[in-house]
Amino acid sequence: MTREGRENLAGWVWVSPWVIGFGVFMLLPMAMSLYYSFTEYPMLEGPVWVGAENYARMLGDGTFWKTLWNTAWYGAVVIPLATALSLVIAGMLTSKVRAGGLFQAAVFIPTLVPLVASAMIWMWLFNGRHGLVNRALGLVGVDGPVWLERAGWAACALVIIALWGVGQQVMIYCAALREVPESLYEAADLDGMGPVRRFVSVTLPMISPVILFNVITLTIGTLQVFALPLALFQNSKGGPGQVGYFYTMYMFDKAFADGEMGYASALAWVQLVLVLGLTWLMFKVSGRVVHTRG
Amino acid sequence: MRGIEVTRRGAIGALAGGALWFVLAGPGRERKRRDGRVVLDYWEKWTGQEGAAMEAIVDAFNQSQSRVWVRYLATAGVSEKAMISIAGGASPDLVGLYGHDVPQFAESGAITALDELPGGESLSPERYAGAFRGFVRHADRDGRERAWGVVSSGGTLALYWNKARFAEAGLPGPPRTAEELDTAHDRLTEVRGGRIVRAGFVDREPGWWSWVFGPIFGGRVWDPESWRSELSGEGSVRAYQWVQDRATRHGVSPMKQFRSGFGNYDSPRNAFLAGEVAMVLQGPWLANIIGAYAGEGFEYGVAPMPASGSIRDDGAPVGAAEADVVVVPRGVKDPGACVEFLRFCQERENLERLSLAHFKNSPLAESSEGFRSLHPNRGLAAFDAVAKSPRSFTTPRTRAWPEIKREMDAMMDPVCEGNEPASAVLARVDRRVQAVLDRQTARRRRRGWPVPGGAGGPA
Repeated sequence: MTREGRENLAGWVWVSPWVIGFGVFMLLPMAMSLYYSFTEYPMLEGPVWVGAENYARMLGDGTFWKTLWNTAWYGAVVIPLATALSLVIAGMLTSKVRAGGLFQAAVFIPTLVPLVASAMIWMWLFNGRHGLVNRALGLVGVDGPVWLERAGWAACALVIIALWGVGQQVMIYCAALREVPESLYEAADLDGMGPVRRFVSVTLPMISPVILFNVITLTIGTLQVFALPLALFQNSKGGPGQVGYFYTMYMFDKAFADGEMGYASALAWVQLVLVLGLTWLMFKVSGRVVHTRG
Repeated sequence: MRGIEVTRRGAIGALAGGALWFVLAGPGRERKRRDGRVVLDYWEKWTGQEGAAMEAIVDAFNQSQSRVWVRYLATAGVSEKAMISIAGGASPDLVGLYGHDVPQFAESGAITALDELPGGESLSPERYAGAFRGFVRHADRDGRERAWGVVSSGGTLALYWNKARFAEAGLPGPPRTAEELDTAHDRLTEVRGGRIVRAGFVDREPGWWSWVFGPIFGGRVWDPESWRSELSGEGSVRAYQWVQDRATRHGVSPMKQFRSGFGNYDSPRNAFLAGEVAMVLQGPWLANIIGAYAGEGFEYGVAPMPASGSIRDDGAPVGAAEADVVVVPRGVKDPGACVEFLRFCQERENLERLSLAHFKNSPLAESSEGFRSLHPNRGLAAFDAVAKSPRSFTTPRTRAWPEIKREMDAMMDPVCEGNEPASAVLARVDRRVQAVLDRQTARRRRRGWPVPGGAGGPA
């Protein structure tokens, strides 16, 4: 074997754990799930080919549309709000404030709390009779709602809880904001820009690739929301009006509660197509607004 | 001292050798212990006190003989994990499932019928009280009814009532009919300043059994012969209208606000223990919580769930039953050893020991005098009456049950909201449940299995 061949072989051997792992634990299951999506496969029995029946079934499946809608509104509300909120917090944290590290830790720590534990905490905070949120509202003369028992308020609670966990985005924005060259701000000052204009014309373009990254990861995350609503509405399967019953939860139920792995696989492929489609769309749209440094 | 030089070839060789060793001789499943005993892996759902009680039975079995060693593994989400492990051909030897799991596992041939196990016939379900027999019986894919496991523990549901609150309201005893329950609820409910502060009966406390109300008025979820949903039948409509009337009588928002303050079931803030509700539908296991958290003076009684006056029969109370079962997955290495363990668990002494530790009624048709006298639940007779009643009922014995249950759980919200009559909600859910059942029929047809009602079953 030539020296080049030996080096190639050695290279392959070194990366083989990853390649084999990727092939066996990612590509193969994906290929199998694509096949299963065209079958009726209850897992305990062999798969039976049904063609596109699973995909056609989705069209008339009320729960599919319900969970898709729930996931869509959740994403549509949480993604912009979380982006705006984390940008504001990051802006405040990167300005010169006393005990900035403490505030950074306070913002980041919620992301370290296990989701189930956080759901338990919020369940009590939002408790209609004994919750601290309603107690606080009561202090200012507001009769708080029964948060987790009314569809609209339960939806608000879900959004608030999601916004509580923006710490990771904040940290990324903080890093991006610190990377904006000071000289640009100095030039902006010389041009007489005010703080708002400076943010819109200097800061936003400079951190726009990071915003794009965060929005894409948030989109993927919100489309896969699962553990929090599961724990929050554990006794009622999605809470009042099933407002907290999301796509991934339905997919999980189909696969592992109902034993319909074929249909669940079809749901997973639709979800993948949606995620890919949205990501592609974001890249397309962002081409015009995202500033990439040359 | 010269260091050891690691060549690239040597490193690759060591890595490859390690990987090969791991594949061929790495951690595997122990089939036999050093002392020659056959090892059986037993997955069970219970943890904590309930798990410790079952582990004690396992320990006793391991001590009682020298051929088999059972390894107890507490497994969360046991049904899902058992399904995946059996599908993957790496199942445990024994699995503790929920009673409602049996149809799915049995029809799929994922578990072994008792008549296929050596000596399995001796574990006949005839020994159980009527309410529990059905949990292990199910038709195989060819339509032949068989027994698929043993009942390890079981419980029926009945109405707990708070004696102090009943006395306070001047009520002589527990309601015997649905109509009396309504009257008692009204007398026991206190509203102050537009807020409910105490209630008689709250249908969604604890909210675990959305499906048990129909039979109170003679309704049922489905017809097991024709596989037709009966959720929009007269009995079911009357039952859920009865639920709706009570849920909305004092205002939907006040009721929701009141419910939101209930503590967890397993806590001193349990709504029944805290006196917030005076009646609750529960199983015998509630005595465990009462014993743990209620004060000495907490006096409760237990009565069968009231039925509508027109169908009430004191000799045959209406009530739901639940059970846990132990099954043997298909293809286990030593089915004889599995049967040996099951037989040990099914000895009266061990069944009653486990039931006592779980605060449940005995699944056996006749329990011993000792069991009855030692049982901490003072309402045991009521639970036993339901267990022996011909009108006790279980979850519908269909593999579609998880889906149907989800529909019924979700239905409780619109029923209790009261924005539309219960009949409208039920009509919608009935259509959805029928679609679920029809899909099961289509699935059977696709696989060439007999369908309900013969070849002319629903397409």
